[in-house]
Amino acid sequence: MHPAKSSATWFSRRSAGVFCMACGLLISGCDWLSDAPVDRSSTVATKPPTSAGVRASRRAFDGAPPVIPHEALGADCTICHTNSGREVPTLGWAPANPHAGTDYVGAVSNCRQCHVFSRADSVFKASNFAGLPQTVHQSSSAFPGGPPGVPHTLLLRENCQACHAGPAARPEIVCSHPERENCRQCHLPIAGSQFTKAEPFLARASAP
Amino acid sequence: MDRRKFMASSAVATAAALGCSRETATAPDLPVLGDLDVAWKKAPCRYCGTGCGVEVGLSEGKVVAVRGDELSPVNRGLLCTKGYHLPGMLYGKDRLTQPLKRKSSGEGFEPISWDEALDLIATKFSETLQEHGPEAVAMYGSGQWTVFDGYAALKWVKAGMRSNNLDPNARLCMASAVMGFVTQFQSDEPMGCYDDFEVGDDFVLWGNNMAEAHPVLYSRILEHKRKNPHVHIVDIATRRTPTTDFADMYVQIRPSTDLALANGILHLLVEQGAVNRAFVEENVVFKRGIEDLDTIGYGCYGDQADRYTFSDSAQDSSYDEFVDFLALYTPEKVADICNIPSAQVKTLAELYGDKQRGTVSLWCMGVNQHVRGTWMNNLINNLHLLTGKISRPGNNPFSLTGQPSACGTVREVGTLSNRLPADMVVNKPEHREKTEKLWGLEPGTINPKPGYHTVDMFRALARGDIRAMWVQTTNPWVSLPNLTRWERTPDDGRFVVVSEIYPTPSTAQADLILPSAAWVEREGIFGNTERRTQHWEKMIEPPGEAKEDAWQIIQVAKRMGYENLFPWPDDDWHKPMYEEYRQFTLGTGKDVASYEQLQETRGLRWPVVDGKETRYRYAAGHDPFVEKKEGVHFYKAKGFGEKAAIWLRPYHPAAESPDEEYPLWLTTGRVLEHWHTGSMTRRVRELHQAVPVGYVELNSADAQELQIADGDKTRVVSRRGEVVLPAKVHQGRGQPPRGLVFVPFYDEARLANLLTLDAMDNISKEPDYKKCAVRLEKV
Repeated sequence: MHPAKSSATWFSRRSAGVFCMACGLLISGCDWLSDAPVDRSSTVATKPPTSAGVRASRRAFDGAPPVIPHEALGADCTICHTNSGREVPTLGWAPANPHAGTDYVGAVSNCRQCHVFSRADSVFKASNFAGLPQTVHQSSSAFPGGPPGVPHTLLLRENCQACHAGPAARPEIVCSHPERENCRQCHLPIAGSQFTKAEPFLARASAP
Repeated sequence: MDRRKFMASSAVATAAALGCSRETATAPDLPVLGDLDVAWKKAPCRYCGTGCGVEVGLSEGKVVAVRGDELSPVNRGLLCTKGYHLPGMLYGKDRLTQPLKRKSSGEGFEPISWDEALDLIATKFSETLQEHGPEAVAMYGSGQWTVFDGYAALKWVKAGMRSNNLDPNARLCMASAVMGFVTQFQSDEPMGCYDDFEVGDDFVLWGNNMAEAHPVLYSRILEHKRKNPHVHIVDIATRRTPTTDFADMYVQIRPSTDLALANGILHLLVEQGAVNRAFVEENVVFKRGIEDLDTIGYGCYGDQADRYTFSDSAQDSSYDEFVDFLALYTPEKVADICNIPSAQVKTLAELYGDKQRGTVSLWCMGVNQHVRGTWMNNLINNLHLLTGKISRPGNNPFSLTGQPSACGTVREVGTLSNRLPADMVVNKPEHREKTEKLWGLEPGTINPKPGYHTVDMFRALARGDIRAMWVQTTNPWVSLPNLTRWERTPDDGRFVVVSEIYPTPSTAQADLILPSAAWVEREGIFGNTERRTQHWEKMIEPPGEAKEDAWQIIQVAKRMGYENLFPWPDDDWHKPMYEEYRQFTLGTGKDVASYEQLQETRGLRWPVVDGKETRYRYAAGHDPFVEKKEGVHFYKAKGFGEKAAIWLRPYHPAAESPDEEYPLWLTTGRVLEHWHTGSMTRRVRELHQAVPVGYVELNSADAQELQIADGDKTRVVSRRGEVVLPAKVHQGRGQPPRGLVFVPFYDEARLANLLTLDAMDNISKEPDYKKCAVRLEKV
């Protein structure tokens, strides 16, 4: 038997939520499908007019995984979307893979399980769906001057710097001190946001 | 302006996300999340049989988001792209919101009231019963029915109308797995569970594209493999798929030759002394049935093209006879039949025969939608019975299901033409008696004659033998094979009701369309592949006048004089109905959890005894019905002396193979982004745009020979029909070998099932959608 091409990740922590916030410039490659005509303009690495607008246009609602805004590039997504991101000749900056970086969640290699190509303009039928709007997650500190908490779930976003540092980071969430690296030494997930609030009926899961 | 729109348009926030500097922490075009009022409630996903838990985000009476439920033991927070985009499924602009009756001209529909609609159904079904008897009425249901819907249908059809013409679309999906388990263990559903994905060593996928059809479960296996490099995946298939990308060994067989391959592995296990003799002697009997190809047929030629009623005849066999039977299946012979290297047969035999490694076999439609699907299920189960690799953590045959409650509703409630709840059947007097007692019926009420299975039900509709039919929660005029057979004709005299949430090709065939409530617009219970029963509460109001399917059935039943079957108050019937159903399961080894437990947990795997779920059926130390201190006890198989049966099953070829006129194999299936006939997922913008149209995927050598380039309009022609599709040559997600093409079945404008053949499994009567012959023409 020859070794497997790669492997994916299994999840054991917080519920799924928002993916890479820097996906205004998301570039990945996937070799198992090209389904629709390609709009190559979306692969050009020019700065979008508003990063929030672009971000919203690529998600069904705040918390949905972003669609892939470029053509299939015939390679594993993680060749460009490395753990720290990568400059791709003629295309621009490929944001880092936000799903890598902890002991309990490694790289997710079956990328297309969640991220779909979206290049056709057609709709099968019109929809009335109005999802949770894109938001900024209001953080809070334990005391004035204290380090702000993490206002979103960490599941699938373990690699903080994928969104908060580097050329692909949105300006409003750029970290001023990425060199410190161990983010959660100071910034802890906070209670009270929609992503950390559990309803009272949520009894313990049945499996041991 | 509503609140959310106001929030979206008002520039408020100061973003103070993690580590932001004071200078960069403003985002004038975004609202602050904390101001949004979103409540989260638990539900299982609406789509496949995996049963992922989701949390549903609710605001102002609408579903505005979902997220993976971290507390669900099934998916632990992860979803696939269909799950992440669930909310959009509810809000297509063309949702059906009021009952619609076909105009007297025959063209188009007009709105009518619920009272008129329900009266009309009751009148039509009552008249049909009076004039033509219980064989002339039918209900065609679904593995997407909740337990409530299925139980209401079962009582209405079997106790009310005294008919057994109740069958579900799950007949097209996992009936072969049902008959595999029933013929060998005399009880349906797997002994293993998803926990095997973290403890098995070798995962053998028989015709199973998990990366697309069960992506979250495949992720569990892949993560297990990432952490444990000794773990292997073997992909046995007729075409490369995204699943193959992660496999350690790919075994590309000719269509239908999996039967030969499995027998070849059994042959080598015997020859190499890998049989667990102690286990076999203690726990196994040997059986064989009718094996002659001409006697069995394929259910689609000659007399069988009208009605197919084959029943097997079991005979006792023995280990020695089994060994003689397998002598034919040498590695060389099998390699020749399957068109694979004989070394792959040997590798598979080593893997199944290795006592030190846990082996999990997984399968779904490739094995089930097969003219010998039950046999193929038997052979996979045989591999585990012969080696004793069964009912142990990390060692199990495990069939996957494609619909969210194919197990919970169809297989457990028993919405099949021969079934009653909890493994009971209508042709056994003691089973009818128990059912009549629990339902408070006069003895002799339940009809002992099994009704039509799905394909025969639609053949009977086409013939005119069925005069009144009600279809709920499924889309047969897209999903049945050989579709041209079932189309309506003017003045055919039949009355067809379709309950749906959107207009589909099936509602176009209806005389009356009823608008249904979907998913969290009503309360529900689903049962998933690993025997886990899951409950959700009603969270939002359905659109317009849409009503839940069970309510529709109950109202009609009451109008037909069957009030006694549904004695519960109109505003509080879910819990008492479930508790009545639960009585059927208690003490049988299929005991489902209480209503209260279901509300409190992320579901429990039956049998649930003393509030505790069971991970491994038949296993000492796990299953509360096993009294042995160690090993296994197949206590449900009373007819085999409480042992499991190994069946001798030969290789038979497919019903139709390529020839000069139709030189290519056609296989059909799913894509990751769309679910079933696409009636829900195609209304979600992101999913539709990802894979907007059906296509024909072919090998580049075939394309070159036919001068077909990528994207070319291509006519696919079979003996039944034709369809024009864009070609995918180099850019298809799968890679068919030379001589085989693939067409997904989700696109209602490009119907794959105009091409397929209504050949079916001899025992389960499940059609074979994976093998027929076609030719391609460049348009």
